[in-house]
Parts: sequence; C-alpha cells; structure tokens
Amino acid sequence: MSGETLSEADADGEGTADGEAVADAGLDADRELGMEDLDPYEVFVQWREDRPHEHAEVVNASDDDLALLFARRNVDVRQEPKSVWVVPRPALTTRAAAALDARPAEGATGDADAAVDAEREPFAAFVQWERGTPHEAVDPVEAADPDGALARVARRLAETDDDALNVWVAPEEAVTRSREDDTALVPSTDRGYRSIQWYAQHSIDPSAVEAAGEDQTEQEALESAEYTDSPIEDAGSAADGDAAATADSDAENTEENP
Amino acid sequence: MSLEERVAAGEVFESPEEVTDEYKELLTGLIEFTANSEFMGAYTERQWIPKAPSYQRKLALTAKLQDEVGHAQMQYRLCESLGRDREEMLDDLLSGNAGFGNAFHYPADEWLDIAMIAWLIDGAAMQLQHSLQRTSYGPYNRVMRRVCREEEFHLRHGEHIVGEYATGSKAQREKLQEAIDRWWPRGIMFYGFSDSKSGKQERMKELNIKPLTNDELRQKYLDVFVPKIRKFGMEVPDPNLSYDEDADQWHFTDPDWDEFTEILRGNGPVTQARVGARQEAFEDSEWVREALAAHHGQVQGRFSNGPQVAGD
Repeated sequence: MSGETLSEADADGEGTADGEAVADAGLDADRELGMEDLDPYEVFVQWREDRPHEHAEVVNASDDDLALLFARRNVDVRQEPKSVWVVPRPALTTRAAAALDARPAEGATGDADAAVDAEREPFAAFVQWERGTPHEAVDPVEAADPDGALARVARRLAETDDDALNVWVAPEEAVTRSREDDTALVPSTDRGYRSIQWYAQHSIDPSAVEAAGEDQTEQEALESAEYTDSPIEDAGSAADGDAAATADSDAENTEENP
Repeated sequence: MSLEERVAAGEVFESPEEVTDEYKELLTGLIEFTANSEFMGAYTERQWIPKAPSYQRKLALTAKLQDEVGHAQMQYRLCESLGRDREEMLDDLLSGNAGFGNAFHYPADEWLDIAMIAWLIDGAAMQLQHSLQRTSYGPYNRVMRRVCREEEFHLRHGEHIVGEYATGSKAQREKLQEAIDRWWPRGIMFYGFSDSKSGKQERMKELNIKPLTNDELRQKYLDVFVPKIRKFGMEVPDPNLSYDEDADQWHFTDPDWDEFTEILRGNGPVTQARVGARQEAFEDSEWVREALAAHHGQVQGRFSNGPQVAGD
C-alpha cells in the first residue's frame, strides 16, 4: 500500500492572507505565473505553549521562506501565536486512520522499520482526531519512508487505544519553522485597539465596565456574547493566553494525545 | 446513507469527495459571495485609514481591514479547494459576473459611515458567520470560528465609536441618528430576499450548508440590534417595528427590494466606483507581482522532484 500524496481535496481549504499589498500580488501572481507553478503549503500554528501545533490554513508560495512569511503575515499581524510551521503539500502523505496498517511489513523481522538506523529519518506527524477539528501535531516518528512513518503512528494510536480520523506525515526536513528569536513581525505596540477586553473595559455602559473588571481575560470578554445568541466557539486561534477558560478541553486533548 | 441522512445525523464533511456536486455548488456560491463581500468591504473602508480621527482608531481600522482581507483570502482558498479557480473568481468580481454585499454599494463619505459598517453591517454578517460555525462542511466551520472572533472586535470597535457620539454633543447625537437612519434598511436588506422568494434557502438548510435561512437570520439581527440601538438612546427608524410575543417574531417594514435588485444588477449608488478601486489596486500592485515573478524565476523547478528544503 503506497501513500497518497495529499490532494487539494484532502486539505482544509483555508486561506492565504498575506496582508493587503502582498495578498493582491499573490493573487495576481497566480494569473501571471500560473497557479500550477505555486505550491500550496499547509500552515500549522501553535497558539499556546500548552497546545500542539494545529492546522490553520493554506498559503500558496514559490518557496519555503515565502510560504513562512505569508503564513506569519496572516497570523502574526492579527494574533500572537507561539510558533508557525509550513509544510509544502507534496511533502505530506495522508491516510485515513481506518486504512492505517499498524502491523509490521511483510517479511520484516521484528520491527516494521527494519531499515537500519542510518536509513531512517524523522517524520513530523499530524492527527485529525475527529470530524470538524483540525489536524494536530503529535510527537514525531522515525522511519525509512512515509509508509513506515504512517505505520509507526498507527502503532502508537493502537497502543494508546486512541481513535483518530486521519493522519498526515511529512519528513521533518520539509517542515519550515518560525524561529523564536525572529522578532521581525512582532508588533511594536500593545494591541488594546483590537482586543475585545479593551472595548469591554472602555464601554460607555458603566455596568459593562464593572462586569468586565480589570482581570477579565480576552476569552471571558468573548464569552459575554453581546452580539450573538451564544458565545463564540473557541477556535484554536482563540487562545490569547487564557489557559483557565479552556482548561477542560485541554485536559481532554492531553489525554487523547499519545 | 444518503447525503441528507448523513446531514440529519449531524455528520460533518471533511473533504469535497464526501459531498455531492449540488452541495459543492451551493456551498461555493455562498462562500464566493461572502469572500467578495469581505474583500470589497475593505475597499469601501480603506479611504478612512488616513483620515481616522485618532491614533487608536487608525490602528483599529487598519487591523479591521487586515482582518477583512484575510477573511476574503481564507474563503477564496476554501472555494479553490472545492474546485473553483481563483483567477476566475477575481475576474468575475471585476466584470460584475459575481456580486458582493449590498452595503458596499453605498458611499462611505462620513466617519460615522465607517462606524455603521463596523456595527450594523458587520453585526448583520456576524449572525450569519456565527450560525456557520455549525455548517456541515468542517473546513468552513473552522474558518468561521476564526472569523467570528475577529468580527467581534470589529463590532466592539464600531460600538465604541457609536458610544462616543451617543454620549457626545447634541449635534453628535443627531449625526448618529442620521447615520442609523441611513444604514438601518441596509442591515435589514443584508441577508437578501425573504425565504419565500429565495428558492435555495430551504435546500441549503436541509443540507446544513447554511444552518439558518435569510428570514431566521434577520430575526436574530433584530433581536440583537433593536435593544442595542435603544440602549444608546437612539431610535430604530421603522414605525412598523413591533415584537409579536405569541409568534416570537419581529414585524418590520420591508426594505426597498427594488433598490436591492438594482444593486444585484450592478447599478448601486457607487458600485462602479468600488469595482474601479479594486481594478486600480490591481494595477498599482503590478510591481509587486513582477518582483514575485522575478523571484519565482530563480527558484522555479524547485518542487519538480518533490519536497526540498531551503538551503540554509
């Protein structure tokens, strides 16, 4: 069974927002370069230290560095993620979890990855736990090829008795990561102007200001749901540093992760 | 199991292979329209970035427009993954083959127009986007969760400007009332024709592409904004507005659907100027495209042998 390269169809078709000028250029570049010349890159974002990187969107770019720049341009200017990874789609191998084969390859002795250590390479692995949720990074595996990497992930899922929907693997060397010391896109001013908490605390309605209080977190401010009939759901991107508000769902996720 | 049964069972679809052509067509039609609207919204509001009345407002408006362009991109990208061609979508927007939100066919010549767009129009969009967090297409509901979070900031930003005028001088309060009078019918119109005149509504609800119909969304909009406007001491400019407790429904004056139809035909008050601004931006950014093309020339062929890693 050979791995399928991740198709357009498999990916979450999420966006490429590169800032206005660059965005226009990116779009129009498609028209001149031909879309087929640009590769889609899957973007994974870690919103909080205690959360894994999760699939956030797709950008089109002509190389790894531009892909990372476009991805960061989209997420950094609006929120403050801990880290961003980009992976060119051709580097990803995808498999429905139901089709994963955890058994050792035929003829292999003992370990399915009979390849000697020297031939193995690390693979990044991403698991979609259930429908409606994004793929999340899990611990990397070592294998000789994508099939081997998928088998490794499958075995780990079987060991921990975890149900999953879909798995992506990619050679670690295909993953481009933002660097911690790269401050190029870190905002130079505080972001009260775009924080819901700031507006809650500066409302003209004294009772709203009182309710907001000084200790209100961004997530709590969001949950006050003034404009909708129920609170806004906590996307991964909703993580502006309020661990407590989502502690329950985090606990579940930690348990689920092998 | 049929698609309808899977939807009824609460299933969320994760790839285009899992759905029918009809589903894809209805879904991409909706997404393309909302993407176009986000995009043209930015072209409507951007003239106010240099003229914003304070540094805080300038930062907020800039951030809002970055969000809107980002939302457009996320949604165009989603359409692409469902088989639409991006170049075609952008061409259709310029040529008038594809529409965009009614609100962006009107002038925004006053600062309060910007507040009204952020409050009444983004507030109308929010009802739709919030309901779409439960759409049956998984990648779409994830985009919408992110969009809603950012839209909530746009609403608070708009409300803050409204609050400033509502507590300001008599002249400011009058200006605010005039702005509400101007924009109220456009917010009511936002969702489009009544369900009885819009054949797709029922089917889109059945497939849970759009969990709430135009009329249901309009009711939610009234639920939120009638009390909000009154809280600021302003009047909702509709003499026929009333709440029917028994039916659990708002009654309101139908907006001018002829005006709406003209907008659909590309004959809104400033439709051509807006599309022209988009065309101009396209031409102004040519040097960036050329730079990208030159850069691309240097790295061409890089992926022909599968993934490779940057040289550093």
